Amino acid sequence: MFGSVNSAFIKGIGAVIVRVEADISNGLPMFEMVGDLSPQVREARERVRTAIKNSDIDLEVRKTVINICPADVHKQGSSMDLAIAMAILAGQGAISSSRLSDTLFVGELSLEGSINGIKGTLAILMAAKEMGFKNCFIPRANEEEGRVVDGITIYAVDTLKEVFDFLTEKTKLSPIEYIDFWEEGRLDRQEDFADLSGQETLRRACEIAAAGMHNILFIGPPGSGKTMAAKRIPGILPSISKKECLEISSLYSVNGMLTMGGLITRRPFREVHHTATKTAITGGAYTIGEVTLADKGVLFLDEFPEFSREVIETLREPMESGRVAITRSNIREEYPAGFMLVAAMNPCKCGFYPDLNKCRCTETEIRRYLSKVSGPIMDRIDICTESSPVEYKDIKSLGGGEDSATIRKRVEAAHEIQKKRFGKYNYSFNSFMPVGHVKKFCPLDKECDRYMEMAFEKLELSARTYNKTLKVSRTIADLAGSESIQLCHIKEALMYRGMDKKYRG
Amino acid sequence: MDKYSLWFGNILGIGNAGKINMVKSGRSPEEIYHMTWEELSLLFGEEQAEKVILARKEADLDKELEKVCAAKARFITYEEKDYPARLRELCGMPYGLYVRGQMPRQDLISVAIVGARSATPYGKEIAHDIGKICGENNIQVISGLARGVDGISQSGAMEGGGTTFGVLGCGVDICYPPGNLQVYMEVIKRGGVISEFPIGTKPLPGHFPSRNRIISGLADIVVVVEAKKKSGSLITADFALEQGRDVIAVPGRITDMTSEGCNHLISQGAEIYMGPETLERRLQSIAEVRNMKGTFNMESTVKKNFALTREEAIVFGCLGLRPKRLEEVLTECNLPMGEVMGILMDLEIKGYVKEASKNNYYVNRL
Repeated sequence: MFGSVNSAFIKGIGAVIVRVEADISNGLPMFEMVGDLSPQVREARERVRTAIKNSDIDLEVRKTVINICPADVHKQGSSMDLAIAMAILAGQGAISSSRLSDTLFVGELSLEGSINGIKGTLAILMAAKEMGFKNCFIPRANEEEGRVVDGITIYAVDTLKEVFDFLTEKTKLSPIEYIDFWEEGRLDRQEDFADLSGQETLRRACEIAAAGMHNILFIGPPGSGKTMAAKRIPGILPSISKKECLEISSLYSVNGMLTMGGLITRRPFREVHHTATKTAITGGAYTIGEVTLADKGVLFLDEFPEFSREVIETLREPMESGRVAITRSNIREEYPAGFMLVAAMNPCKCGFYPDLNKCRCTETEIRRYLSKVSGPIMDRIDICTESSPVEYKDIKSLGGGEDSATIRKRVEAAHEIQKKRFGKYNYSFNSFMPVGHVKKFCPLDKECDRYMEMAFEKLELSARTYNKTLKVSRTIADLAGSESIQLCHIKEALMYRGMDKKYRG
Repeated sequence: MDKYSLWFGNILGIGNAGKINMVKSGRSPEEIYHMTWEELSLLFGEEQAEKVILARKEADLDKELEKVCAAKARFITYEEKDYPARLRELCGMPYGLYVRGQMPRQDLISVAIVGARSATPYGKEIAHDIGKICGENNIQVISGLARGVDGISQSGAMEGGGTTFGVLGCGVDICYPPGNLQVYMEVIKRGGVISEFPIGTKPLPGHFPSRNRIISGLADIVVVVEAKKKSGSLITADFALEQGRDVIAVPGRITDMTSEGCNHLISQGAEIYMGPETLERRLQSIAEVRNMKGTFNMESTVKKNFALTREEAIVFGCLGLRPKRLEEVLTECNLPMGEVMGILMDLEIKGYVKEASKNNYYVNRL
């Protein structure tokens, strides 16, 4: 007898829908599984057999063959355990498989017959909905993820027996309720810029960076609020749309990183330690990289000069294209990686330069320290600013600053202007302007041009810094709602130029 | 320079004073080289004779000479007239000195400018100023060609059109620190680099204190610009006092570690540097004693007035020679952030203000 049910597993950052077939026939008792299975899937044999036995369901002692198709796709994970069990039961005729053609089963079985949670439920449900499935059985542990997908009947189940009894119409199950999180305003509270005391210039730089999606570098002594400011940047970027929210949540669900509530409703903030490897950053055959996890949000690199050159270099491609390509022997994938880079560093090795009362570094050490971050990656960082140590009076006036919502409104307005400007092109932010477009979109009047010329000579700017300055002044002008770039915008942009000049002495 | 004096200058185990005494007895290094054990021990005692014999055994005289020539250097001994007269009158000075370029002239006044390697912008500016006015007034600047105050004062001197001499803690063929290569090459052209250490000697920490005695020895006045409490600059000042040179110290804030040494010197009786006129007065009196003619004009170089708008003046007034954070400037001058940023940018482009570290500004006095 033959039975088949539908299931899914996670590959890369998405779900693959599969059909699990079981054939029960006369012959020597055996249990065979085929279909390009990884050991995790193959081990399901023991889990499924024992779980069925322990659920007080009869398991016929006959020749059992399981096939999971498409047979040429390598399958991994434990999400298909439940479906394998159901396919066997359908093959035995215990349940009718004709009723199950529009039903999807996912869940890992334990030996006693209960159903354990799996990674990537949200991604699987979204794929199932797209494929037109009507019913879905998911583990109880992933119930929250089921609540946010509508248009499909979802049952959260605890045990194999429960599913069996429902399908044989012995008991009733009620589907889980859909919650429109968007309507309910179940948005996470984020770290707010209002908590950041003082630091007027730092706030301003963050606002400009967010407005033009410019990558930004903070330079400042230890304890000057670099991390604090970085954590608050996702909160001043435009709020995410429902679609973006589901995309991010699905990604995090695949990685088993969904926290309570079942959804990520804010832009991601990923802090990476400088001991991270290349694969941890870009992702590999079996892992999703930090660049992908930071998609639509902020990737924060503290102690920027401590990162190995190799790791930093791998950031270049995603920073340019907003995507990261993973090519290994067994996979060839491209994942989204559209993040804003926020980097932080000390002004010198000990962190106190130019306060020579505290700083113990020699000029050579300082130069060596700064030179670690020079090069191609600095070319992609448009804004460079100082964070100053927090003073007592600032602590006392805690929370005196503007809150993130107010700043976000201005940033959103600037984003709108840019979207209109770059409508025809394949990018939508000032920071992505190619050199050829800089002249077109950042025209300077005579006065500004003369000033830039002076700055170019006196401050020994490079051509690249020149372009970056123009892009940043475009963003400053957009924030001010100004059609043309004015002198004050240029002056401010010049304040954020990188440290690419030499010290005397 | 002959190969025998070069060999003699490098005999190990006989001190500088010992060597000078040996040649003062009327025997040239060449004669000493050819003496027998008996002659040597009779003249200089057995101990020194042994050292001479030992040194003679190992020496390859021609090769050593070649090394010096290859480095385009000269070895100037105590007996030669090029040997600085200022050193000749002191004790503990080396028997011979390696030099690339020239030796300081005796008929010109020399000022040594020394200070911290990790100097603050304040120290650097002052060092540069003093170097420059010395250069403009044809005063030789002696220093150690080190990072920070040393190198800056010497490039200042050359900017002012003067000559300058660097005394090294390594062989004269080695540029240390490597970052000073440009200044090093320029100094060889315009003045000279001097060392008591043989060609190829590495810059070991132990070498530096002893070269300081030569710096102060070659100078008439020693100016200490910025010095920490335990520093080579204070060692130089100590030598200067022993050698009877004037010491002038540039004062700093009592809270600055880089000025602790200078302030300490002042409390011990060193003259306080109140500006170019302090130096001028000292130089004048030295010139009188030596019967040199000529006056010193110390005023000309330092720019003082430039046209600023009212707001610019407010921002500029907040700044000093210590780098100040943008955040502090904002609080102090009480103007809108955008305006302050604009003004700072203007001032930086005009060259009145410089950026020490990201968004830390100080007044540029040049």
